[in-house]
Amino acid sequence: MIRLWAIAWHIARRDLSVRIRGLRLLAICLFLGVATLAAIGSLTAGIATELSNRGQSLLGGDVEVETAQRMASAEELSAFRSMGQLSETVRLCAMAIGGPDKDSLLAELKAIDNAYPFYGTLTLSDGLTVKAPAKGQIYIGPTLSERLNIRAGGTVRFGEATFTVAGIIGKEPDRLGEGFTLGPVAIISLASLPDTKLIQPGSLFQAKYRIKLPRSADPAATVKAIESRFPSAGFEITDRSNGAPGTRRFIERMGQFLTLVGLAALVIAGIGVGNGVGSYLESKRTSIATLKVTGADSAMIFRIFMIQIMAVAAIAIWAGLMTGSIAPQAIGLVIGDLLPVPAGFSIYPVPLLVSAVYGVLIAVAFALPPLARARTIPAAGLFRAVSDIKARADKRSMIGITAAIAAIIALAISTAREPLFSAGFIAAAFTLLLILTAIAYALRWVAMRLPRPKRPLLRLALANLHRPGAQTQALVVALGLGLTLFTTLATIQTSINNETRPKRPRTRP
Amino acid sequence: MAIRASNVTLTLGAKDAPVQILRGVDLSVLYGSSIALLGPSGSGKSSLMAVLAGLEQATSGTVEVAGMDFGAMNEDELARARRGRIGVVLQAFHLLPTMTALENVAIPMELAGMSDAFQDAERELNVVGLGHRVDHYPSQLSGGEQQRVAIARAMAAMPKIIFADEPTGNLDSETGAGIIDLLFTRRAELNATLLIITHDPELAKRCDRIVTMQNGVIVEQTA
Ligand SMILES: Nc1ncnc2c1ncn2[C@@H]1O[C@H](COP(=O)(O)OP(=O)(O)OP(=O)(O)O)[C@@H](O)[C@H]1O
Ligand SMILES: [Mg+2]
Repeated sequence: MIRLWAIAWHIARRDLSVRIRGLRLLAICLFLGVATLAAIGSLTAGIATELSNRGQSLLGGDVEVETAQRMASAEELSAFRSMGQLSETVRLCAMAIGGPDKDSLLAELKAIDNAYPFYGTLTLSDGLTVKAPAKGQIYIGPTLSERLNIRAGGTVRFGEATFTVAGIIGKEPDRLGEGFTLGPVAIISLASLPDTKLIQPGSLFQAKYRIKLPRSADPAATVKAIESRFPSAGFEITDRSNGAPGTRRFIERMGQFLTLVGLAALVIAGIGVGNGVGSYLESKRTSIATLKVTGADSAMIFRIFMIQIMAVAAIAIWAGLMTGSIAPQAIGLVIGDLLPVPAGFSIYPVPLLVSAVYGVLIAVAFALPPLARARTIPAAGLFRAVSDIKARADKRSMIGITAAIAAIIALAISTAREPLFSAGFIAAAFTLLLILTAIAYALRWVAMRLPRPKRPLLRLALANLHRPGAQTQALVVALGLGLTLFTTLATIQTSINNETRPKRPRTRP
Repeated sequence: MAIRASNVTLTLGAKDAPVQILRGVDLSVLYGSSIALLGPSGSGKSSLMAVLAGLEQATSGTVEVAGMDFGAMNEDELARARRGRIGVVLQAFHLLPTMTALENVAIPMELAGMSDAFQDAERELNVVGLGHRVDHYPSQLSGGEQQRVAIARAMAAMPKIIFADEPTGNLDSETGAGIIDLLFTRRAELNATLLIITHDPELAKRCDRIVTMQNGVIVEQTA
């Protein structure tokens, strides 16, 4: 057996080395498919890793307890203090009024204490690292500074208190952990908050209590302890493993959308592989018959061309993995500002491995049918032009094709964030393929029965739709799939856009 | 007997429109003899050769070649049976365009699992007078040279039986004569059986026997 493969390898290599051209379509489609998958996988893994690496600074602590419309009670505070160091912030929406024109703008007022931030740094636009501003002073975000035309040294009023701008905020460490905000941020010290008189019974605000745990303490256990001690306090408790739940949800949505793109890329790659291999082997008809005349049996033909196809596939997959693995960096360079965090610079083996496996399975599943046809090309074909080939694949090839497709589906479902969603997509894709094939058949059937037009060009065109070996089917399926995928992606893109765009209330609450 | 065929028929084409190509052919060929196969175009010469060379399965009748019952074999078994035993030379040369002369000649021996395929191939190319062109691709060779490579490919494994279907059909008469000389010399050296299809009565006379076909049957045999 090994000897037979060795013989096949010798012949395959010589035949291929001269011109790899014939398998270009296979190489391009596999490369694109694998590169897309690897890029998507690496990017999502990179962002997810970065998010959890930065969990502490995103959250501003190891554990965060959030209350809405009320401050923590003294009993609660002392419980938090007993667990570690405590930092307290209060956040609310308020009108900022100031600047030369006494303009007003809805802003996010954030009051911090002196412990803030436990992780990361609060920096001003001039690079200075600062703690909470002094009483009566304020740091404002660049947007606020621009819109109200206030610079450092100017004043801005929140509620009943007027603050002197002590600096423009450069970086707020827990920005992502705060989730979507309604307006630009302004930071004051907790001590200044009562002066604004904005905290009234019934006013909308959130207080966040960040706890910095001793090294040895387990954040999850701390969360449990707080929950069991204050079961009806209405706390929203998060630990550092999930520093930015909103952002994480966004990334997950995004990942799902990208998975769709990936699956679509796979289907397209598969069609490309099938067509590429098909036309390559078609161009090899005479060579295959010649090999048979000189003593190759159909298994040897299969081996020779399987080796060629897999060799080209391996190169394409490898190149795809290379490209995909550096994609996060490339994407970061181009649209880095749009990403919540830069994807960490490293190679993520799991998504790369998954992409490679997909590539191999796609290559096998879609190359096997034309290969199975090629092995039936008769030796006697050299003696005559027309030779009937059996269209049906042999049993072993059928088993191989089925196994590869099953493996692809299993992989797609098992690696999906939402398996049901992926399963649904695959089922829909299958149905679509069936419908398109049926349409193609119908088209051929109609073309065959239509009366022959008088115009030669028309007659030729019509005949081309149903002559033996016509590409009608492949074309209809490819076009239909392409169009459907395109519309699907556009639709999803729109709905994602709508969902992620913050819904700004028209009027102030 | 190198070849023993009796009552061979071959029917091809679709089921609803079958074409009877061979209609009961009987032919016996002694080891080491040479046979010329003549007949008008479409009479079934190539088809008969395909059946005798194990490239096509007969529809009915018995075909025994080199002691093997071709009728009992499937396509793949026939392919393996050809290895090292049967050499085929065709009108259109049919070299693999992606391989050099040497690699083309080595193929049948590699497929037969012979260890010295490339040495034997080089030796055979020297014999046919192309020792200096071993690394040339078919596209770099003239028609006559390509046919020499094809002959080397058919002969290198020293087969018992050689089939040649109009081997000079694509060549001018001078080049063709050289090819025929080579074919006959080499066959004599190897003491191989030769079955050659031709339209040239002069060439046919060089063979031990002449068999004429018409409409799917043998109509005349002369020694
Ligand atoms: N696949 C096929 N289906 C139907 N008929 C075929 C097929 N192949 C060949 N034929 C027919 O079989 C007959 C014999 O063909 P064959 O090639 O054996 O003739 P030939 O004697 O070699 O002719 P030539 O001298 O032109 O080479 C021809 O009439 C041909 O049209
Ligand atoms: Mg012929």
